[in-house]
Amino acid sequence: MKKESKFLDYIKIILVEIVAFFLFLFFLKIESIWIVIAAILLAILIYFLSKIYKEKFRALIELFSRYQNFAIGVLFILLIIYPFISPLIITHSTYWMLILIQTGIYIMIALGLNFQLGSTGMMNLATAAFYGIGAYTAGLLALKLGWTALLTIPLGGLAAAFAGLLLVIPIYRTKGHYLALVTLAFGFMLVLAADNIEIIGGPQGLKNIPPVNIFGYNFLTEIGSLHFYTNYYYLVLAILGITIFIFARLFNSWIGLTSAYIRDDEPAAKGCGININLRKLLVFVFGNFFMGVAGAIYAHMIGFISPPNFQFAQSLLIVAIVIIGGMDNILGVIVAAILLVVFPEKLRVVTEYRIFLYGILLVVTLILRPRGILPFGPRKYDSSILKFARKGGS
Amino acid sequence: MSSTSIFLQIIFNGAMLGIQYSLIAVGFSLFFGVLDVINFAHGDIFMLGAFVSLTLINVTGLLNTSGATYVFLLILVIILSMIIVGGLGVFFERIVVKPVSKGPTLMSLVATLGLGIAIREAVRLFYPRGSETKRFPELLVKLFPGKEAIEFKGIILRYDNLLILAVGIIVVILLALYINKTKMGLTIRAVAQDAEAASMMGVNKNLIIDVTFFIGSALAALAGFMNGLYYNSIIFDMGAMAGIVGFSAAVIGGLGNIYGAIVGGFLFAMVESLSAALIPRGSEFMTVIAFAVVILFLVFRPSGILGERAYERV
Amino acid sequence: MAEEKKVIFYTEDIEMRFGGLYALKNINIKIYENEILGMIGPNGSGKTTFFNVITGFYKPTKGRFYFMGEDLTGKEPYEITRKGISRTYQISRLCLDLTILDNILIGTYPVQKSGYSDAIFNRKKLIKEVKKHTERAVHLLNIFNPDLIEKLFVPVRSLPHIDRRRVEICRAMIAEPKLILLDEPSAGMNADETKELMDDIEKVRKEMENVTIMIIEHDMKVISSVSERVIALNFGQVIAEGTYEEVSHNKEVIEAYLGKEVANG
Repeated sequence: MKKESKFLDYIKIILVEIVAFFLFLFFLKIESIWIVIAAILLAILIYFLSKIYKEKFRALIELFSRYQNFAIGVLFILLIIYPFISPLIITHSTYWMLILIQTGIYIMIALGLNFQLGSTGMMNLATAAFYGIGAYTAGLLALKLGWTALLTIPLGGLAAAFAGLLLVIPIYRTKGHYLALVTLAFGFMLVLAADNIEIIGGPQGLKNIPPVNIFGYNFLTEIGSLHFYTNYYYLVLAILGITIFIFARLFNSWIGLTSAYIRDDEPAAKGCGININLRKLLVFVFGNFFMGVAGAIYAHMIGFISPPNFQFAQSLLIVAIVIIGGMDNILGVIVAAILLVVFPEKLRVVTEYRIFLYGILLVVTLILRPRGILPFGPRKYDSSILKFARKGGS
Repeated sequence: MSSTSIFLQIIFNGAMLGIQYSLIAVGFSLFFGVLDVINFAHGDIFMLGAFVSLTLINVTGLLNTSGATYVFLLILVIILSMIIVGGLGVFFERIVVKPVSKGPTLMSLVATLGLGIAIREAVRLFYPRGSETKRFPELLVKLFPGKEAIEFKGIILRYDNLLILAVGIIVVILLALYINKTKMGLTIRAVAQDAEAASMMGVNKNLIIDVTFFIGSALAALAGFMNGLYYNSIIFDMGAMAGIVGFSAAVIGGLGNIYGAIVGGFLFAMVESLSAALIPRGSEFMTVIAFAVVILFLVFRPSGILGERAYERV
Repeated sequence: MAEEKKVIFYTEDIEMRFGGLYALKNINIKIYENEILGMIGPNGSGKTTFFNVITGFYKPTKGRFYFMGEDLTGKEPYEITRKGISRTYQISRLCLDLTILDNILIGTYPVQKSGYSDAIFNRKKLIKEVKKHTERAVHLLNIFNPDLIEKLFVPVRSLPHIDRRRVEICRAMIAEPKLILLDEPSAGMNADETKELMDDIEKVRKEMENVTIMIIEHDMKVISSVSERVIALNFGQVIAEGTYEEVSHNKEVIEAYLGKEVANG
C-alpha cells in the first residue's frame, strides 16, 4: 500500500514536469504577439486559480518538496534531452538555445548575488563589472597566452573574486544604501576604465577569443545535426548544476543561517559570536567568483566582448532577478531569471515597447508580491532533521 | 589665462553643475527622510522636468513673444512645469513608491528602478520623435539684449548662466526657509527624524509624504529645466546618470539631511570640474574620479558630511 | 555563604560617556561564580549601557573589565561571546522571519566546528552536529514550553511575546555559556506573564547548575524572587549593593525610584 502510493507520487511528479516542459517549449514556439499575450493571461489565470484551489496547490508543492531529489533528477533529464527535442518543435531552436544558455549564465551570476544580497543582505550593484572581470581575464589569457578554458574559466572566477578584495575597506565600514553606492561607483569606474585602457582593447573590446577547447574537443564541433551551441548548453548546464548544488548546501548550513542573521539583525549576529566583517568579506568574494566564472564562459562562447556588455543596466537586471525571485531562495532566483531573460525575448516581437513593458512588469510584480515571487522558506538542513522535528523531537 | 582665473573658471563651472545636482539630491534626501526609500526614478523625474518645460515652451509659443509678455510667459512656463512634474511625482509616489516602501528596503529600490525605466521608455516611445536629442532653446539670452557676458578677473561669465545660478541659489534658500520656518516644513523634518513619534503626535503622515514628493519632484523639474538651458539639448535618457549623481550627492551629504544634499551636490560637481580641467583627458575620466572620491568619502565618513555618527541601538 | 566565593567577572572604574553625557561612571562591580545577580535602577540609569559595554557593543571611554581573569576591554562582541558570555536584549532581537530552530541554533555558532568546506563536502559531519544541537534545542524548549517543539520550523513572527522571550533565552543558553546576561526579560509583559517568566529563570538555574546569571530589571519586585544579590544603579553610578532586603530599604534607592519627598516622608 505504502509503496504503491509512493509510486503514484513519482508518476505525478513526472507528469507535472513533462506537462510544464512542453508548455514551456510551446511557449518558445509561438510567434504571434497575440498568442504571447494569451499565454501571459493564462499564466495570470493559473496564478489566481492557485489562490482559489489553495489546498490542492499546496499539496502539489508539498509533494515536490518531499521528493525534492527525485523531482530535480527528472528535471535534469528533461533538460538533457531538450536539445534533441527542441528542433522538432521550435522553429528557431538555435536562437532559443542561445537564449537559454544566456539564461543559465544569468542564473549563475544571480546566484552569486543572491548569496551576497539575498542571504547576507549585502547590496552589490557591480555584478556586471565582476562578470566582466571574469570575461576579460579569460579572454586575455586565451588570446595572449593561448591558455585552455580548463584554466581560463576558473581563473576568470578567481580574478573576479580577488577584485572584490579591493573593496575590503568599504565593506568593513559601510552597509545598506552606502554599500550599494560604493559598488555602483566601483562598477562605473571599471567600465569607464576598460573603455580607456588600450591594452585590453579600449572601446573595441576583445575580438576573436578562441572557443572552449577541452582535451582536444573543440566546442565549435557540431553534434550531429545540432548547432555547436549545444556544447555550451551542456557546459553551462553542468556548471550551473554544480553552482546550485553548492549554494543549496551552503543555505542549509551554519553559513546560510549566520548569513541570514547578519542580514536581518547585525547586532544580534554580533552577539551570537559571528565575526561579521570576515563573513561579509568571504561572502562577497565567494559570490563574485561565480560571476567571474559565468563571464569567462560567456567570453569563450561569444568570442567578442566589449565594455558595453558589462554596464550598470546589466547589474540592474541581475539585482531585479534576485529581488523579484524572492531573496535567499534559489528556486525563486531561477524562476525570476527565466521570467526576466526568456520572457522579454518573446516580447521582442514588439521590439519598440520591450524595455517599457519590462519596467512596468518589474513594478507590477513588486506591488503585487512585495517579497518577491517565492519568499524564502524554512531552512531544513537535512531530511533527517526534519523527520526528527516532525516526531516531536524523539 | 592666469592661474586664479583658471581656478575661478573651474569654480564657476562646478557651481553651474552643482546647483543642478543639489536640486536633484535634495529630492533623494527628502524622500529618504519621510519614507525611508531611495527613489531611483527621481533622475527620470528630472528628465521629465526638461521635457515638460520644452513642451510648454512650444505650446505657449513663448519664442514668438517679446518684452514683458516674454518674461511673464517664461516664468509661467517654469512654474507650470514645476507644478505638473510635482504632481506627477505625487502620482508616482501614490501608485508605486509608497506601496513598495512598506516592503523590504531593497525591494523598493528595484521597484523605483523599474518605474524609472518605464518613465524613460514612455518618453522615448510616446513623445514625438522621443528617441532623438532635442534642441532646447536659449531662452535667457533674449533677456540680455546686446550683451551676452561680462568679464570678471579674466573669465567670461555668461549672463544667462549667472541667472540660472542665481535662481538656483534663491530656490535653495527658499527651501531652507520653508523647511525651517513654516509649520509644514518643520513637520516634514519631524517625520524625517522619527516617523512613529510624529504620527503619534497627530501628524497626517500621508499628507506630509505627498507634500514632500511634490516639492522634491518640482525641484528636480527645475533642475531639468536648468540643464536644458545650460547644455541647450535634452534627451530621454539624461535622467539615468543624473539620478545616480544625485543619489551620490545625497549620500555624500548624509541621507535625510537636505543641507547635506546641497553640499554634496556642489562637492560632486567641483570634483568633476576640477578633474576635467586639471587632469589630462580629464573630461573622460571626471565621473570616474568623482566616484572614486565618493568611495573614499564613504570609507572615511560613512554617514556622510552632515549625517550624524549614531551609536548603534542595541 | 561561609566559603570564599570565586569572582568570575569584575570591572575596574568603567566609564561610558556619550558626548558630554555620562551614561556610566566609576562602575566597580564583581560577579561571583554561580550566583544570580540582579541589577536594578530606574529608566535611563545606565543598566542596558552597562550590558552593552561588557558585551563589547560599546567601547568604554575609561576603565577595564575582566572575565575569568582575562582582560576583555576593547574586544569585539563576537570575541566576547566566544569567551562564554551570552545575553538577551531588552527589545527582543530575534530574526522574526527565521524559524524557531534557526533562532536557537544560531546560539551554538560559537561552539560548532563546521566551516565552508564541511557545509559543501562533508555533510555527514555537519548534519551530525546540527542534529546534536537540535536535540539540545528540543530539550530546552521542553523545559519552557513543550508546545513550541512542534513549531520548530515555524517563523518566530507567529509567536506571542512571552514565547519569543523564551526562544531568546534558549538561544542564550544553548552554547552553555558561563555567564548569561538577561536584559529586562519582563519588558512589555503583563503581571501573569512576568510571573511565568520568573519561573522560567528558576528553570534556567535548575538546568544549568554551574551558570552565573545577571539580570537587569526595572521593576524591583520582580527581582526579589530570583536574585541572591542586588546592585542598584542611578545616573550611571552604583548607589547600593547587597541582598534584596538591604537594597530595597536603602534610602537612596527609594529616592531614585519614588522621588525625594516620599523617601523623606
